[in-house]
Amino acid sequence: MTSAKSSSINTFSGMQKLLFKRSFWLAALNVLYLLLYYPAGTILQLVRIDMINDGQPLAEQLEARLSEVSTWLGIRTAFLFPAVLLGIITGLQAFGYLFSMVKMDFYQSQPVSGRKVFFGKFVHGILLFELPLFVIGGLTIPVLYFMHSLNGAGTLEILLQMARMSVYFISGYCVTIFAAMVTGNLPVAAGVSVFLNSLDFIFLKILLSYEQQFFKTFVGIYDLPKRYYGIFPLGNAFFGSELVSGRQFMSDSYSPMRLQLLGTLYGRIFPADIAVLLTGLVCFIAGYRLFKKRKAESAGKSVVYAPVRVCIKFIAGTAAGLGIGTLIFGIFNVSSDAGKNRNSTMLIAAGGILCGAFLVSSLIECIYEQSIRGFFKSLWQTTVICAAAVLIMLTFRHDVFGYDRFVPEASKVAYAQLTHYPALDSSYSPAGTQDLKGSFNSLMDFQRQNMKLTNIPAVIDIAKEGQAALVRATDDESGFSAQVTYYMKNGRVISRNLLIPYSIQAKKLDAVWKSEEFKEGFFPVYHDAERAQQLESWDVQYLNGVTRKKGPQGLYRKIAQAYREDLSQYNAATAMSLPIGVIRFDASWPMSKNVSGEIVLPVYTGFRNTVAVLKKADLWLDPAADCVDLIGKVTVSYYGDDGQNASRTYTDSGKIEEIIKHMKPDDLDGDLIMTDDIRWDVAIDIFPKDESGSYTGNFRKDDIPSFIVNDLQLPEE
Amino acid sequence: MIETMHLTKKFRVEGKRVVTAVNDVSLKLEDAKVFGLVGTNGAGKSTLLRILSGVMKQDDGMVCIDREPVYDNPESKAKLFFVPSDSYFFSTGCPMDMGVYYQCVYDTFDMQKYLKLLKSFNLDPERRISEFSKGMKKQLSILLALSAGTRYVLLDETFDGLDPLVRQAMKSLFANEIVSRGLTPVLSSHNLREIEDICDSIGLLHQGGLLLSSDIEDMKLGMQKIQVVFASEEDRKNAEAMLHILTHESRGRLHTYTVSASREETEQKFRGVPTVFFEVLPLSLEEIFISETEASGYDIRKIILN
Repeated sequence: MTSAKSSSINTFSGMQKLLFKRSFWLAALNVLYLLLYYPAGTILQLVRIDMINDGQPLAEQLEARLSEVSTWLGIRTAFLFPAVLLGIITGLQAFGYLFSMVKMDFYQSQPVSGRKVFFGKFVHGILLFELPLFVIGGLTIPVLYFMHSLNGAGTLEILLQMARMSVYFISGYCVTIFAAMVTGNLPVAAGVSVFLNSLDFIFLKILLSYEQQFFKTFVGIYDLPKRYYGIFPLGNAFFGSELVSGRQFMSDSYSPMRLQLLGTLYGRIFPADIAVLLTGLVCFIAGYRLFKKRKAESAGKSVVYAPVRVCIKFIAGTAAGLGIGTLIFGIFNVSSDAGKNRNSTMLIAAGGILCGAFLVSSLIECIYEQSIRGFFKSLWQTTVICAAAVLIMLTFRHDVFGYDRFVPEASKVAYAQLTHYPALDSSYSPAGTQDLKGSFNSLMDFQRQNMKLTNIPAVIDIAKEGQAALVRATDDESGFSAQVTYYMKNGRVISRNLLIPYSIQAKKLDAVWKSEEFKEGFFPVYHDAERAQQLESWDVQYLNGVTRKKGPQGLYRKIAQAYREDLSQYNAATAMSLPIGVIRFDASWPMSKNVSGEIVLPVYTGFRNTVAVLKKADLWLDPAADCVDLIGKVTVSYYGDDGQNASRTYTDSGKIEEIIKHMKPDDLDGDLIMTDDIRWDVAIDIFPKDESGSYTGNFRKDDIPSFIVNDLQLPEE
Repeated sequence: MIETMHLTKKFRVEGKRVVTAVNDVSLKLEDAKVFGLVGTNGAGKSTLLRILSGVMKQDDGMVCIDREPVYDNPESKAKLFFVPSDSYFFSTGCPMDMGVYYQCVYDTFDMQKYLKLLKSFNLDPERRISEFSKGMKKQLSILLALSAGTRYVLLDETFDGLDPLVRQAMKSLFANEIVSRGLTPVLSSHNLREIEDICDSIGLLHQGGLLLSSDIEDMKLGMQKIQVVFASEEDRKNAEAMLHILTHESRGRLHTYTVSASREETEQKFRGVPTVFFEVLPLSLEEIFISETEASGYDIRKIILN
């Protein structure tokens, strides 16, 4: 008698052996990719970096190697996409038999239960990728150790990345299995799988693009304080890559791995990985349930379930229409376009959206029908899709949901940030094996990390005016750019760009600018416990715009203390005034101190404590106007648009004093001072008598000494 | 025994239109007998075989092998081997690969017998199957089925693509298997003539429904074809009144009847009728079908005799 249980296909190893014979090509593809990526790719990268660093000190060469290996094989790599793509290929290979009635006859008539077939094939697909991954990846680690190109944190990172590759592979594989279960032929299944795997990414990109095009208060994709994740693997491979190696966190993108950095970087993408894992799990369960229900006669059909057909058509058609709209907006640069041109662009875009939605919907119908005759089938659906795409565009165009007008209820906001790009930026970025605590890439980054404003009504008061001014965006609107970010009690993070008009009432600004919360979130002399020690060893200098003085090390704590005391009198009026000088701490040779960056502190009139410390340390310089006797000569140059240039050098102390009095030095900048009226075409170069260097500056439009206007024959602007 | 009861299978085509491929089919296929499934293209033969072999699941009714359901039941499936009209072979595989594969699938697979059969039919075990002709592929799939050692072999469009010589050789192979190990082949064809000499019983499918299913010998015993020239017109009328006539043709005075009765019964009825010529002729399966189905109001020639 026959016995199903005794046939070797019914044993795990027997089935795996049989399946392996049929999927040898896929195993070979996986091995080839992993060999190219792990040993071959890494060694080539190391050879390249050795050539670049040839002649550098050994310590730097080794650090460069660690950085290279970490950025190539670690979590900052962009190489999660191939794992997802291999997952898609594996899914199609494993369950592709469902698309052919001939193969269904072959496999379904055999004495193996559907459950065993499903799990046998599922596990086989995973083994095809996982075994080579852990063998090849695992063997690469000791090789890299041997080549002095890997440290402990780097090893952990590579192992973590291998685990992430597995998660993304399996999730891509599961999504493909789900796609295979709702479709009936290979090209459609492949298309649906790729589409599903990147669905959230496509839609989020379109959404962000529309927000950017139409909403004036949109803060810009790469300035968003919140981090975007999707749920599908291909999309999250992109998002993750942007979060850890892309434009958002540039300063962390190339350095040797250390545990602290690994924790910080992985913290950014951990939710994305969890989302991908859960998506894979859901697709696996749904895929298995559909597999159990799947009818053999579904083979050859384009899409098995009628509602799925409609969904795919609707989503893809709308996305295509909106995507073409984005393209047109990009070409015509609609965000900076105005008036009649903008209306024409809108019409062209609407036409493009209609064409795109119609074409893609009709093509999808052709695929469903597997005939060109399907092009005009289900026209009512196509019409709805076209209308929906245009409607979505119009909701953005007319800001139907009030994006630009958004103001939260104060009671629902936990805290807010009112950030702006400061005139004088600072940064502190430890490298190598340094602790990351206290680091910030820019003052904007510092504000995002540390600013927690709780006087929400005051913030909203400013934000309302800022939003309104930005939406009006008239040429004579004068103000400074800022961002407001509301951290809602429900966990949402909402940001808006602002143009805070200079005409805003000072008391409104002071309600925020004078608050301790604002100062603590804006000036890097706060939250500096982790930096203070390091900054004590940094070089310090004081500049007054026309000369500078270098001071001894070990001054940071004293200056910071005095500066914090002086900040008690800081308000919006201070921010709008020109400082009398700046204190600048900087790491003279960043690599040697394993840290890079500079801390710049503007010193305003009335900062008595700070001035006292500077004087005691012999760092103090009188304001520029009082330093005329130190200046040897001043050259004023005019650079006309028509190529007519003129230049004049002055050595007369009277004229030099007059120039300095009217000059805005480049080294000195107030946070909120108006820069709209600067004559950028007239440059001032100051040469001190001691030949210690040169300083630059500009005049304001209506504040140029008459002898300069005459000497250079300046035209009016 | 393979048994079906009120088996129904419907397909949705072109959106909402539903086609009933198998409609309320009840069958009993006895062991060690050859069952032939006949019907035009689209009659539902392949669908029925797919349901019998567990490839497809019926919408209604039931199908059992030895009282066990077939669909998703490895125990039942281990008793049968399905040879579809278009068999699947591994793209780069050779007959040997297929044999090795089936050896893992069916523990009853006899590799020695398979190799012997390949040799007998001049099929190279190491040659790529993709290079085989359609007929060679058909031979190979039948040889795999016979080597699998299952009790039931379901073959769709069994001899399609085989030359007469090979067709005959295959039929002998089936005969041997039936005798030696009680194999039960279920053969389907759109052409009755192709399988009439091998089947013990036949099922006729038309538009998804089973028009008739019966043992061929029983059908032959209960049906006679006679040619007769009556002495007079009155004799003809008297004779016809006594007979249960299924079909009647006449050429001049020569009348040909197919009647429902045993040979003895027929001869006895004609003993008292004055005839110039009377003869009982052998009845082909085709003629039996024509008679049976015409009686049911169908023109069999349009259904299976193309």
